[in-house]
Amino acid sequence: MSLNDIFPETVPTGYYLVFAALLFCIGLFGLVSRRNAIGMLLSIELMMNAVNVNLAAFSRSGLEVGQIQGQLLVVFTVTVAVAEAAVGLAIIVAMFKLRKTVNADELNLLRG
Amino acid sequence: METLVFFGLAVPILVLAVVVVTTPHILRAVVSLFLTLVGVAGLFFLMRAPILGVMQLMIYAGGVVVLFAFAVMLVRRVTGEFVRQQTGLAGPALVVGLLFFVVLMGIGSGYLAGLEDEAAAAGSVHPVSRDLAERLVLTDVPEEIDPVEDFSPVMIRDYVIPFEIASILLLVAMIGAVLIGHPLEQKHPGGEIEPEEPAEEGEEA
Amino acid sequence: MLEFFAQTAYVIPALPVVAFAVVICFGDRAPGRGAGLPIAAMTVSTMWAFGVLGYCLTGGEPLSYGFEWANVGRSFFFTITVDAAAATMLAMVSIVALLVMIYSTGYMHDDPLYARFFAFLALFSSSMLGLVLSSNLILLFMCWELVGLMSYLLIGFWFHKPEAARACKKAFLTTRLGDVGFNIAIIALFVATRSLDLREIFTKVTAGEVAPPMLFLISLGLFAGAVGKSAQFPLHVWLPDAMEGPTPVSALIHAATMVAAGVWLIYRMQPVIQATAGMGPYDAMKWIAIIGGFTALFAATIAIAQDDIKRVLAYSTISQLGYMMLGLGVGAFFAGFFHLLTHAFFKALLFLGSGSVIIGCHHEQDMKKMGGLAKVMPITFVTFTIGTLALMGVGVPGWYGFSGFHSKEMILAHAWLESPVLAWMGLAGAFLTPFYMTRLICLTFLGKTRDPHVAEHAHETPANMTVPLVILAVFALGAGWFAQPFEAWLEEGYAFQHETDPAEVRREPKQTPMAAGVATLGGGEAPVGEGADAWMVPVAPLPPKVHSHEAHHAAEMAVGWIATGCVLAGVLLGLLLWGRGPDRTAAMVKRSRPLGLARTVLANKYYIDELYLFLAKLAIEFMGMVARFDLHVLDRVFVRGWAWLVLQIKTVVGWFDKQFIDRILVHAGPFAIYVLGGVLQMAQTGSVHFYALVTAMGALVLIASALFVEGILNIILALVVMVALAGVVGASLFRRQRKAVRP
Repeated sequence: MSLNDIFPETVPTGYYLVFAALLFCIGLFGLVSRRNAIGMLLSIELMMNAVNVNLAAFSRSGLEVGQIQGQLLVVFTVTVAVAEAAVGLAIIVAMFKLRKTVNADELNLLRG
Repeated sequence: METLVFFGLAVPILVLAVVVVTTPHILRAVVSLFLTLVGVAGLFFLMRAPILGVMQLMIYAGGVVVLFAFAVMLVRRVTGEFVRQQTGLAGPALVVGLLFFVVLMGIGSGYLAGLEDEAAAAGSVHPVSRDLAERLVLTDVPEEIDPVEDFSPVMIRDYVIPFEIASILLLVAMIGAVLIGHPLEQKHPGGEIEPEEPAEEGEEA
Repeated sequence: MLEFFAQTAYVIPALPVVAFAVVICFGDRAPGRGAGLPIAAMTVSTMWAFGVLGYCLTGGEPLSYGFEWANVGRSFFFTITVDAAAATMLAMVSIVALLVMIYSTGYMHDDPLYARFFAFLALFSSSMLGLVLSSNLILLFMCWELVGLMSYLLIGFWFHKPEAARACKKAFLTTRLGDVGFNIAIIALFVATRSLDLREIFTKVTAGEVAPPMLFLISLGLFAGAVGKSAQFPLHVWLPDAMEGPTPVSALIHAATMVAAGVWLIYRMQPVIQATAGMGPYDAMKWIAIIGGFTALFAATIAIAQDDIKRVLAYSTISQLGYMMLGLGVGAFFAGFFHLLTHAFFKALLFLGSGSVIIGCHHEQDMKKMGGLAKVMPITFVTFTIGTLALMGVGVPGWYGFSGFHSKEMILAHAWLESPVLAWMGLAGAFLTPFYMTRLICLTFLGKTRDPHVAEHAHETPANMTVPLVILAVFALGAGWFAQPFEAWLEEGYAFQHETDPAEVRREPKQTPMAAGVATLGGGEAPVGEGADAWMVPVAPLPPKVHSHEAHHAAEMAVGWIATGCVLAGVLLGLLLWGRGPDRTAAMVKRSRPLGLARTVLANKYYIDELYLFLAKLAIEFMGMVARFDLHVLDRVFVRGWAWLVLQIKTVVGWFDKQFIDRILVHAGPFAIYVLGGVLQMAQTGSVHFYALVTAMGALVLIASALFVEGILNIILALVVMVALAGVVGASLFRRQRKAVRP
């Protein structure tokens, strides 16, 4: 029993796009407003997810058999996001060891 | 009916997302993120993209969040006092975020406007693809895909190079993370180079 | 057979040139210590000249031939003309030159520059012979100048003597002054007749195609050249000083040949000059006659007060040349020419004789120290006396006289017919000439030798000097016989007969093309045209006044007797005053104030040299003033003033540059960058949040602008807005934040 049997009609793709946009903006807000560095990374994850949803939504609009490039792209973006999260966390941990803080405000050695 | 499911998923996700970005409790944020990710996985399933859904659950919800949890544990302060969690830029951030949403919606509405009015579409600023605009509003059900038959051959055959590069990327990330996390007192081979001592004494905020 | 000589007449001037070239190159190593080749060449030339003379004497037709030397649209030819007159001159010049060369082997024997002397003599002879032959004005002028140059070199032969150096310069410059006139005449002649060939010129002139004012200008120009070359007043000053040169030079150049070139020029250009006769204010001939007559008298007066034997002869030459000009001026062209020939022989004789005296007295030239040489140098004495008699013009009218008698008589007769005043001037000269020559002979040869040194050493000169004297004496004696037939023969053998006969030349009075800008020589009472037209309207020349034969004969008789009377008077007076040496006259001069004054004035040549020197100094002073003006005024104002002005401008501009340009351009750039940098620096907050926010804002702006603006403008707009936003937001917000961060 496939999903198509359960749900004969579906939501317009536009809804997904609006949703993704909202999620992205929330993540953006969090990126700038969160003090904690890990909090910032969490916000970044939100943004990445919004992008994935967006891609998948476009992939599905006009979906024919074999037209799955959008979803494929999502696979790759997930890969990249994961790698980036790992490295980012490693950096945060290292910084913590150095400066004993995770407040991004205080990590301003590059101030000119 | 699907609409109901959609909204039933979307709204909680958004609420949880707001929690992620606002709560001062970092652990609470992590858990909220986990739930958000699960919700997004559900959305994927609803979008007839089971592979993505499964991947999301496995990798994101299962892996990344765990990673975050570990990291949080590692950098926990002993003192536990609550410092203000918001930066001074929260205000502008809100503004920018809202603006961003507005602009994105503007793009979308442009497309939709073009769909209704051919003349408006012809004279509008950005190129309107009628086809695309149509697709944004149709409610036809997409075809179900078979994960193995439809997905894998495309990935392995047509997109093999990005696939391989992605694996290299992961390798690089691994190495990078290991290096970054390495203890600082490591002596360099053949050198008396003094590693930088962290200036811990007078730098506490 | 004799035609051959006439057809190859160019050999006559050519051979001495070759001799000159060889001797100049080889010097003493040439045969005969340098004298051999010139004498040999001159001998051949003399024989050749006699060949030509023979050709003409035997009725040969006059010949003109030449070669084309330039073609600038129309051809120009260098032509020579061989006719009776030219042949005569060739013979005279070559014979005298040869005799002078032989004489020089003795006179210049001890001179270290012996070879050079002969080389110069050779080149000079060649130039003179070329001058005689040429019938092209340019060729003639070239030879004319060459003759002048050789005169310069030969006068200044003993160049280490300052007097000689000064003298040769003076000679060259003075004759040069006359040559300016000659040049003008040549140019005017070309403008008027578009030709430089004598034949064509004479044709045009006789046909009346040249206007009188132009003819006058030409004649004056030609005469100016003659005044310079033939030492007429006022350009006579160089000839006495030219005596600084060796005596053979004086004999050849300043007695016989070069000074004769002026007379020859006038004689040759007779058609042109005679065309001005009777043209009222454009009559050039009367000027020639006046100056000639004046010079004749003027020079004679100076001669009586000179103590140097060569000076006396120099002034005598000037005087005799005046006679020749007088003759030419009054229309007695043949008489003037004949006097030229006779004068050549006896003056050369006199100079060579004086040279003999000088050598014999061991280079003593002051007559006051001589005396009684007749016994010691008999040949010199006799030949000298013969020359003197010829010069004085001793003879019996109607019968026979020495050569000078005939020529002078003809001149004076013609002068008498034209103007009695001129005739009396000539007769006065005829009195003075014997006067000073008698003085010369008395002081030099008669009486007792006054100077003991001279008395000791005086001796007769060797044969190579006395033989030429004898030969010349023969000529001086015998030339008189040939006067009448000579004249007829000359006329027959005249080369330009056709061109000077108005009847034969077609009369086509047409406008002569004149160059624009030729000014008129004042309107005056010209028989033709007024003002500017006078140049344009030519008129046929009037036929020369021909006096009736009876009038001529009567004049000759009358003048001849008067002249003889003057001569006798002069001789007697001379003998009276100087028969016993100079003491008598010296005493007279001492006692009488006016006589003393007169003697001083005459001895100092009327102070003309001093006058010229004064004028020259005046000119130099003027130049000095001009130079000083240039230095002090012009230089100060224009040169230094300009420099000062430029410096002031530099100061002003420099101030401008420092204040404005430097501030604006030089400092503004870095300053702007500094300001901009300051602004941008505010964006480097070091806060990650801020960076993220700004990035988001940037993306927002880009997307928004893509919505509303098309094309490149949208990117620029986006960039500007982003930068502004970044700066403003960062500056305002993060100030607060930083304060919050620091505890």
